[in-house]
Amino acid sequence: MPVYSVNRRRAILLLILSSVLLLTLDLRGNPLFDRARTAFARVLDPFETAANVVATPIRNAWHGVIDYPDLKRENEALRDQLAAQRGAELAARAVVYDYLELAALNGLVVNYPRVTARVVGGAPGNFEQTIEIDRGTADGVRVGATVISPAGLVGKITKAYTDRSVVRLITDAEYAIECKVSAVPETAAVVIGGGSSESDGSSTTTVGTTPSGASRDDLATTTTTTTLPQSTTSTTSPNGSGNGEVGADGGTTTTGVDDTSTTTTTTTPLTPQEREVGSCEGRGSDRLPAMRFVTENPAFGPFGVGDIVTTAGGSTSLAPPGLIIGEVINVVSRPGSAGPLLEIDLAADLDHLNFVQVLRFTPLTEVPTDN
Amino acid sequence: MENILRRPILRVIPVGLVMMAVQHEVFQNLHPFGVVVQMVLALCAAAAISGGAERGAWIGFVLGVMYDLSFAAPLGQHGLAYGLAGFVAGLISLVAVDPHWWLKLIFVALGSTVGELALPVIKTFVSDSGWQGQRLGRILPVIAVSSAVAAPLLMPLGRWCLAIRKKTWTMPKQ
Repeated sequence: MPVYSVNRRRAILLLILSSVLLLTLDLRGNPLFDRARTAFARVLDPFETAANVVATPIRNAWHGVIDYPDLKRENEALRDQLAAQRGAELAARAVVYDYLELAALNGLVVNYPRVTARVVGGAPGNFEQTIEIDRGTADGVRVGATVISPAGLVGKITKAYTDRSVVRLITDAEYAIECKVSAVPETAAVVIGGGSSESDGSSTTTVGTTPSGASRDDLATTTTTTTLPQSTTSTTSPNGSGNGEVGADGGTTTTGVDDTSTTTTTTTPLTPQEREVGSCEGRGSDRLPAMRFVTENPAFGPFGVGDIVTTAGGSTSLAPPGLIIGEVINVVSRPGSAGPLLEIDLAADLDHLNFVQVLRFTPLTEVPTDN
Repeated sequence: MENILRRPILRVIPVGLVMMAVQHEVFQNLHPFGVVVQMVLALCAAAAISGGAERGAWIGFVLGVMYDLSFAAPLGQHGLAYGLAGFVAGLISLVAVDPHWWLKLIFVALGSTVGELALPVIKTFVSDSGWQGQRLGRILPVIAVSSAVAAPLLMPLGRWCLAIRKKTWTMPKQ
């Protein structure tokens, strides 16, 4: 039988043309195909249920054999990490309370309705970064909705069926979202008021970090030394604590007194400094997501490892502002006007997602108006 | 009635549904060497060993479209890739009239590899994900080996789907 024959040529041509036709129709958006997908999912559902029953012991055995040593190691590492994080968490909680209080005072607190969903499947192939969740349009999930985990941003809904949805992960090369990078100000000695410490009533302020049981990035210590005339000496100590103590609430605590001077040590949570807005884009499963279209602003200094990346929000963004994406793990300098590329270590662990939440957030531009 | 039941399409669809379910529930969650094993693709290539290039392309296309419907991929993307896998597996099986069993495994592995390789190429055209070939060096060997391992089971299944009787050689009557 000849390798090249008319039938064979016809078969391959027919295959290519049929596929291209289907692709063209589908990519242009075809409700008929969407209905076909939904119907196919219904037909497939009993098969999947049966396969799930059969496959569960196989899956468990596989994970038991393959993953057990890794899980044991990971568990030990996580215990250490948990102990280290506990101190940082207390300080961070104080910051969050302050932030929420301020936001509430300014009417900025918005709680978006959420749908909690279970992750029921991973990516079907080797070239997609998607997961499947067990909630769909019947639960209020819609295409474009942001998906988060307790740690941070996970991705967005790209397909929503009645009772299941497909989430494109933030690592997928087709995912992009507006984001901003923020940083806690670097340790610096700042002298205010001429830097004189003579007994003429002027003051000197020094900002620097000190160990306080909290993470270095979360807390800093402001030491103010004020030289006052003898007749006007006064001190206050809100916590009533003794010298040298640092309050757990991060408030004013230490006051040293003598006849002529007052030294106040105030532990103040530093507010992250917003720097630049750019685009956070996935780059495939084997590469870290990166933030592009940012330029270094001399006013804030260079980008650094540990800078926090959050969603920027905005009238057209599908995600509300302030969702944690991750932290900068690497700053790649690029020549010309391209600006640096910030590689992001994601806060959410996308390899071990069990439950996620779908935010029912609507961008301002899509909110229906009465007019 | 028997002729109707022997029509390949009536066999491919239920087998395809079962294979989709198995792919979804089993292989989507087990990642040997970090790679998702593609059993449906291996079935396309295995069926083509008995059925030839034309029927391999046909079964690949049908199973690929079912895959697209099942996994929310652009319709026709896997249809084309799996069709190519079947076509190539059927075409290269022509190099031997009655190949040894191990040669058949190699043909299945090669066909599956071509199908998996075609996917990122097609995705480059149909989406803006760009070429992501960095992982191919790890993905393709795993796909090839897993397809070859599953081939002894999948070849009879593919033959049944295409309603082909196994070839038997008999001495010509004197």
